Amino acid sequence: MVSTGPLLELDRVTKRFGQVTVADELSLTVRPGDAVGVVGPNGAGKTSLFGIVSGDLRPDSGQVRLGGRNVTSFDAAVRCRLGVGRTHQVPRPFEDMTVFENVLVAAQQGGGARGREGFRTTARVLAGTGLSDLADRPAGRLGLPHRKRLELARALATRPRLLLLDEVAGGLTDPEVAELVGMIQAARADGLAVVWIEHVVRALTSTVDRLICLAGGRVVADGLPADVLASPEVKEVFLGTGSVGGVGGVGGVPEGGGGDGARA
Amino acid sequence: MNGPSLPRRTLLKGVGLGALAAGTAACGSIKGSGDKAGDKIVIGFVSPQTGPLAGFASGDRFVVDRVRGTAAYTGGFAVGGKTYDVEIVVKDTQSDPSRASQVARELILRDHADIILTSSTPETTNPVATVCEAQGIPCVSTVVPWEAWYFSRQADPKNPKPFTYTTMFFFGVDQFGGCFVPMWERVSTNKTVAGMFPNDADGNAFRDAYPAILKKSGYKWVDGGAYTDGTTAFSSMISKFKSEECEIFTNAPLPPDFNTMWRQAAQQGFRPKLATVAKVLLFPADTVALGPLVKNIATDSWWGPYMPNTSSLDGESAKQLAEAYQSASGKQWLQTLGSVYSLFEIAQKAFTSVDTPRDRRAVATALQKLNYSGISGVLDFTRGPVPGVAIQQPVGVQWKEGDGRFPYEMVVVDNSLNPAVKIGADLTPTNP
Amino acid sequence: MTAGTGGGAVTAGTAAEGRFAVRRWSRTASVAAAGSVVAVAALAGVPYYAGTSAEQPLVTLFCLVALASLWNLMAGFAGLTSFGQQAYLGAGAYALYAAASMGLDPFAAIPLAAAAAGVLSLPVSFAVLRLSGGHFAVATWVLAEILRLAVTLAPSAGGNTGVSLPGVSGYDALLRQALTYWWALAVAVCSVAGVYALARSRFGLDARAVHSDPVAAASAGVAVGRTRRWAYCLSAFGTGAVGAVLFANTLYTQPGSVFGVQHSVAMMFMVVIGGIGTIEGPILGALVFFALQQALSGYGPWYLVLLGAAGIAITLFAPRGLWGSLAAPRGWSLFPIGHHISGTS
Repeated sequence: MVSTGPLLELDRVTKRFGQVTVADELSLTVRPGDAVGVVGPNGAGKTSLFGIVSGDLRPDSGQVRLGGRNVTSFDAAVRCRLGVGRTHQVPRPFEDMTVFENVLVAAQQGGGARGREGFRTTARVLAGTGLSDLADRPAGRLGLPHRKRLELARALATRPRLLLLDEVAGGLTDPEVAELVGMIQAARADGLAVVWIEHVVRALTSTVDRLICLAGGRVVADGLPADVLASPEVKEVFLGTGSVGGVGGVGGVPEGGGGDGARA
Repeated sequence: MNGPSLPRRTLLKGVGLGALAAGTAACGSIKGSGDKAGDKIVIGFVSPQTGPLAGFASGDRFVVDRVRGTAAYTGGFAVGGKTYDVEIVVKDTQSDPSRASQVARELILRDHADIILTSSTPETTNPVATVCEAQGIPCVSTVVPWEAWYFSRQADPKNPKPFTYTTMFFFGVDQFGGCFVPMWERVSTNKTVAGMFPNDADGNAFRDAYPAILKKSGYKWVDGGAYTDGTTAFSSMISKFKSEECEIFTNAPLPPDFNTMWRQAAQQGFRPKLATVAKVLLFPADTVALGPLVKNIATDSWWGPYMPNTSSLDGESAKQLAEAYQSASGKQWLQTLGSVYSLFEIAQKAFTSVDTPRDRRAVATALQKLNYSGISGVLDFTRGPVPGVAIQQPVGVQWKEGDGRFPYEMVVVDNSLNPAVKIGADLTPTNP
Repeated sequence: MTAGTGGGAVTAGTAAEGRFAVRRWSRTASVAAAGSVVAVAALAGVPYYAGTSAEQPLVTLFCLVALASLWNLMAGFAGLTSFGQQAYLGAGAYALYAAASMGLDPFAAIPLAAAAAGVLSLPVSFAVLRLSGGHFAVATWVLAEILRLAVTLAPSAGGNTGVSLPGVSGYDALLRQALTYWWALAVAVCSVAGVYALARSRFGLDARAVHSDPVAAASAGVAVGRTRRWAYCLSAFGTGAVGAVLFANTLYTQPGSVFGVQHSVAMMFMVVIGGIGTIEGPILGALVFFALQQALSGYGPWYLVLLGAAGIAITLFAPRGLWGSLAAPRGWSLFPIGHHISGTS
């Protein structure tokens, strides 16, 4: 889709769970084709942000707009059909269905593919995510790396304009991360916007051209990855909370610029 | 996909062939359950031998055995110059109307019953009679108020049509009134009557008819409300009766519900001067649960050893039948002994008045025309309020302390409807 | 319905993307479908060559098959474990009573009775589908009890005593029983075939996804609420038809009996012992249940104890149900619903 206006707008969105504020007057804009990374300590509201965008969470106040349209009251299935694809941090495969069927549902419902077109989309996505050989296997029998890929495959099969990736690289070995990064970059070739939460910052910075740091439901920093990672506020946030993965990643990456991942 | 593939075409062809086969077969005729072999008349008998209504049927097995032993039954029925052996098949409804319908169908389809006899409450007789009427099997019911039996089975109760195959004998709301009102007259009260009637066939039949009967006799009617069978909380009903100062109490509940209600009434201080109950305390077993609270409660009695009647099968008297039951079972006699016994008298009368027991229409017509005297007295099916219904005349009885053999027994206190029965004792107020 | 419904392999994708042959049908399935058609045709002829003594048990069996398949549509495919399907059994029966009381032919009114149950289920679905798991099961049960009380209290519905089916006296007894039989057969065939068609369609795939993980299903674009609602209402519609047919068969219905939870227990029993989430399982479960009923009914109250013991034994030793344990390891499928992939490069 070619569009000059913003693809996703969050307009002063607030969401609280009792005493915990996961989004505090949060505003954010993503343009078509953007690749945005999201970092932040645990409990910063990263996954909740995805919930608000995908429709799994209803904000207490504020607006969510997709392509200029107010979708705040739409449920997850409708937003999926409007072009929001998401993966879940802990993979949620349809365990009794085969890998093929897992992806076919997404292609048919989220992607609106009918008949053979659904089969074709599914075949293409499975090939693109390296799951072709496992197509006939019940998803419940997959190991973690393949479950993560299946999450990605299902999200891609919905033919999203905006892809929300929630720690798809977590728990994977370096070569597996590299393969996954390759798949995501290939998908971006179609003009897809990506918002990616990741603790494995090397993987992230190899792909994104913009980085957001969240803490306490607020945007602490937003800009070029190197600038954001170098900013004192961000360093303070990570040091302050003592988030191990975050600090390690932050320290290691800025100059390294994604080296190995991109060449998968 | 590129059009229907081979299996789909095969499948469609298969469906077409199947339809064709069915169409061809439709030219033939539908097959029945087949004629039964042998010279045997099968009598089906259905009653609630287990479950909440079991009190009605506790003497049924005894009566069936007693009937089997009579010469009329052991020797077979002579019908149209031929003698048929008689087999009686007994079925239990477990007090469940659906089960009643099912056993009736079993009797017809598996046992090839020529007639079905059924007894005790609309929950039993109505499903059985419904199946028999639809299947065209002669049927006699008893121990069910005739209104509950007749009107509840009508498509349009306001425009009732007589039944062809189903008949019954018992009595109705008029006779309850005719039995109860004279007893009320003999106790000095404020003429306010409390009515406890559930939302079921019996309860609703009473609720429809009682106000008019009471008004005619100058009584005021207080309806406790159409509660659901099985209710355990009667406080609001009882306080209504108390606030309306009811001095007479009448009802037609399920027996366990009356036990609950009557205990709560005693606790909450509702003590009507006279209680005349229907459908409960008909049987000695019911009195055990209430103990002393049962004393001097009045009810109706359509049969008892005090009735001057004799069996049309072998001349046995009502008194002899009751005593035979007591000595065989060790239990006190109950009213359904006579009613169930009469069902078999009627079956014998009907079959021996036709040319062949297989002509169901003829047997049904014989039932509709029957007028005979047996252990339940005179039963005339030709002169009922509606065709096929014979009316009995009950007497008023009170539960009084027994002579030692049994704690409480029924004693006749009013014979307004049936003067042939001797009075046994004076009417005593329930709560003086 | 999706492409590939009736056919053999469908090739999807190109060499560069990976070649797939999607199989949704098999030789076994063709044989099973042809066999089913022959069996149904043979059963349709029963009133002509076997007579009423064969019809009566078969009516019961057909109703069981239909109830099991319909419960499986909800529980096995859409993941809705209802304990209140007796509500629609009763709704169908009493709707038939109402229609027949108004002078409609009872046999012609059976579809109306089914429709009434289906219509009733729609507003109900909005209330009960807000809940899930055990709450949903209890809510559906409570709802059935409410309906039972409502029917008991409704004017001219016979109260607790129940009602006879009006309008059947005009029928010849043999014809009436044959019509009842054909209706029971039709309802069973339509239930099984309908559930089969749904399970193979996009709806079936959606329902399985919703059953497996409703959150993930929503993320994949599946309208979770609508999928559940369709399963619930279609199941109610079919169950209403069964209620009407049962009433036409027994000619007498009573709230305490038709609204009894034992019907839901029986549905669950059949589906679980047969094999949940398959087409074959509920049919097999209904056959087993029917056989047990016939074999054990002579034992009086012990019948229920023995039935329970049989159920426990089967769930312990064959947790996927008889059909699941029998078929899954051997790869059998008479009525395939999945997508099978072969020839990947």
